[in-house]
Amino acid sequence: MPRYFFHLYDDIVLHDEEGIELPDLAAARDEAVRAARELACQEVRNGKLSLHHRIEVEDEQNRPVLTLPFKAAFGVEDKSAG
Amino acid sequence: MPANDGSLLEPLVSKLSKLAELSATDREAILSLPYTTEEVRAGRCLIRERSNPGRCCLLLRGFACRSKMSANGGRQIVSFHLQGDLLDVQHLLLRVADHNVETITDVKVAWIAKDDLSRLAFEHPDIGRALWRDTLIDASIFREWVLNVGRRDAKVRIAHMLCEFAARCVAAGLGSAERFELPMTQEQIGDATGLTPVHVNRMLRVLGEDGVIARAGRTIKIADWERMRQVADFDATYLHAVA
Repeated sequence: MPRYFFHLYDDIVLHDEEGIELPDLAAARDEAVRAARELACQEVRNGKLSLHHRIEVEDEQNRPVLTLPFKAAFGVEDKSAG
Repeated sequence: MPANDGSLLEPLVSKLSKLAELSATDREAILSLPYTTEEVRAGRCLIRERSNPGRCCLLLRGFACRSKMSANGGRQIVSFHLQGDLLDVQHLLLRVADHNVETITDVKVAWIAKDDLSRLAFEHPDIGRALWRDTLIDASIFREWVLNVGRRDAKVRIAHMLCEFAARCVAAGLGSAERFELPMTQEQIGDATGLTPVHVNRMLRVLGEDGVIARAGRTIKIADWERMRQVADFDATYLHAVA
């Protein structure tokens, strides 16, 4: 299985040295979404959510294959007035 | 069963000696247990859930874990194991494996027929008592892990897991509490703490930025244990001094 590396860009740049073996790019995207949602949950719990954070995924040849902004990982709905 | 060099079972003697007062006869009896050894690569299954193991697995070298899978494919690692650990002593009395045992690194194991181990426990009450205590301490560790995954936040969870792993490495004679090798991947740490690998990586970085750990590759250094204990909410009482 190919290995994908998930670099996190939040308040710092966090390089993923290890990577995860996944069947394909679709699975890598699912993994990035799962991570973004979990990190966003953690932020909400701590009282501040930053939607501009992102995860950049690279393949084994260090080629960027996917960028996932946190705001693309979940929907935000606000039906309150104003 | 071929005659074996009993000295390979020394890690078991050493482990059980910490759990009960063993006589020279007890020790001799353990060392004369028949067994077969096997070398198994990292990432393999040693014992499969729902199988019916007729033998018990003693870890002689390397690292392993117990895990369960949810229907949606999520894996929860429920404990880590190192040399000297019996990985499934419950199969002396329970027929069906209710979880998987997997290798984390390349390992060497000794397989001991459960009838032989069972007979040993009943014929040598102090060995029986040691095995009983071993399973009770396993249960104590599981209780602590439920607390860890259920009630601690991500950073504390990981810090706690590191503290436990360090304490157990020291007890098994592997490395010091101030500096030890972490054999698990971020993915495996995530499966043990209910977190994604990216989140694990982030929290390890936070622990580094807080100055409680220093990482160089797989090596973890903990300079200030008192501080680490506080950050990790770690109280070693549940390990009962021997695990």
